[in-house]
Amino acid sequence: MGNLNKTIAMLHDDLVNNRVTSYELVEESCKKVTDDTCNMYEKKIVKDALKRAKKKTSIDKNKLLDGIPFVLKDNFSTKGVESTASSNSLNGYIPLYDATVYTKLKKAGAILIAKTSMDELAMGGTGTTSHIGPTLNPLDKTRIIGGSSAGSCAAVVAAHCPFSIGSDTGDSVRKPASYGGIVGFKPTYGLVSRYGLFAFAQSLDTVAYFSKDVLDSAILTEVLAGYDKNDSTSYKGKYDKSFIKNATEGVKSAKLCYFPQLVDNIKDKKIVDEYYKLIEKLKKHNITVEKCEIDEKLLNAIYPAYMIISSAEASSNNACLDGLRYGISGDINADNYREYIKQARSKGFSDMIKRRFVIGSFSLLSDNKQEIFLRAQKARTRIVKYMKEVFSKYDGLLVPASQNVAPLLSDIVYSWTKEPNYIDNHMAIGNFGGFPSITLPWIEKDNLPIGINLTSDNFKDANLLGIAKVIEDTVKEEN
Amino acid sequence: MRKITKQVLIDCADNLLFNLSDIELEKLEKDFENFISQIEFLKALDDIDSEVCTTFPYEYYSNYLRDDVPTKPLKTKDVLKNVNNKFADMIKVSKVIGE
Repeated sequence: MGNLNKTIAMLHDDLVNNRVTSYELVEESCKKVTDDTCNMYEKKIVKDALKRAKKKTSIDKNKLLDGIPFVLKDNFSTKGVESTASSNSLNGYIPLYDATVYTKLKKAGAILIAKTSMDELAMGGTGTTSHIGPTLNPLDKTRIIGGSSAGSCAAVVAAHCPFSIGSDTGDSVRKPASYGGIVGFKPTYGLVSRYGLFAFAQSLDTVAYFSKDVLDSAILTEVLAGYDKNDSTSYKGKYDKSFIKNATEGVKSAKLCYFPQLVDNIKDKKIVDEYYKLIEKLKKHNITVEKCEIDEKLLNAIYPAYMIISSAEASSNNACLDGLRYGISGDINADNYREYIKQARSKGFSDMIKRRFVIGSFSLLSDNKQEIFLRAQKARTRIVKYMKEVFSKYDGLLVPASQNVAPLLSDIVYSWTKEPNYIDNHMAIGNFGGFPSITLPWIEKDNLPIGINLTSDNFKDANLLGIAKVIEDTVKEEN
Repeated sequence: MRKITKQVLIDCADNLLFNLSDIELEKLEKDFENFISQIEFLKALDDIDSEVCTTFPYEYYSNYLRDDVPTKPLKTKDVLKNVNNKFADMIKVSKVIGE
């Protein structure tokens, strides 16, 4: 079974009490990463990891991540290590600097084992659009693990490491966490620096992470949160930092709510029943969950607003991928630089990426901007305003993170839907308002997991972790 | 809103500096049919145009000017590390002047 099924907190205890060495943990992780059969990795750096682990002769008992192996999504800059964001447009790109998140993890003593596969340029929710092919769900290889942070999620599910780093623009960490039966936490926007994270949609992108339990999410937040002058969107103000304390003790009471459409419209009524059973059980722990009405029109607006804003921002952010300064070039034969870039970008992007960019660009055309892009931004405003009202009455919103278990690979469709699709996309609410949001393991159906998601107001991350701890304990009692 | 035609989509791709194959164009046209349906859900929001646009997730004002701190620029040698086509200490590009 090995050591890597354990949490960060358990491994730290083992390390400081000499029950295991960092080298043994890293060696176990490297072996599992090397033998991966789910297509989780873009770049394995096992030799370097083993070298660093060998040098680690003592563990700092004050550093909870010291000597612990982890993996990082391939859209974070890592100096000297190829970083492609799973896109041919960045093949061969070797960054010249480290992302702040990676710098902080290195300082904390954590050891990077690999860069993980993802949906190309983080655009997608299936984990199937990487240039190296689909990432499979370690619990059932005929199914997806979800995306875009696919490899990072799969690595923790398969116990290749106790935690991993991803990014979340719509639900890219919280949805896979549901499909993998692990914890996925997206802190408040601005709490963790995005310096060195390749921008997809800058007003929505957030660093987020996978772990085995709520306490580990709190440990990671303690290490990663903080102002960074290199990130102009980094938050400088004050907020409650008792992440670990709350995630250890849990809150004494909380008042949560749910939107009935996000529960009752789930097709499988057994899942709906399970939800109502859970909220009944939470009452015993002084957590009440009340029904809160929301206009269905607002829910219907989530998906188009998300797709328009993210596609428009992405079409601009990725203009730098020109094949000149880095990335694809190969057999390009062009008479002028414009043709050169066109050929490079045509080869570099998959059709899915091109379609998103065109939709983004179309939304920004002067004739369309008012009716499409600005209206999407206004819909975002309306949704965030409503959520602020909700959070003035409640400590959080508690709803299923996915309406079912991980879909089969053969069932994946890569196009927009005509119908409203809020049941699969509601977690983008968390990105619209920059709200902290966490997915926790909840129930199983056909031996596959489904998670529960809790979202609360900005900078209430510590309180959210305290509530999540109580929900986690309640679910464990139940099982 | 501008009418969606094949040519408009090709022009958008051209502005974005990539080409679309026939298959890609076909898929894109299908996407646009659904995209138009989705836009209707934004229109359906009552008095939506009275709202302000959200460009940042929450209200956060900072009114300080960043100090001018000199930083070291990248060395030419480093910049060229990721470049495939180079000549001496320059990035080699196809014809720029005279278009």
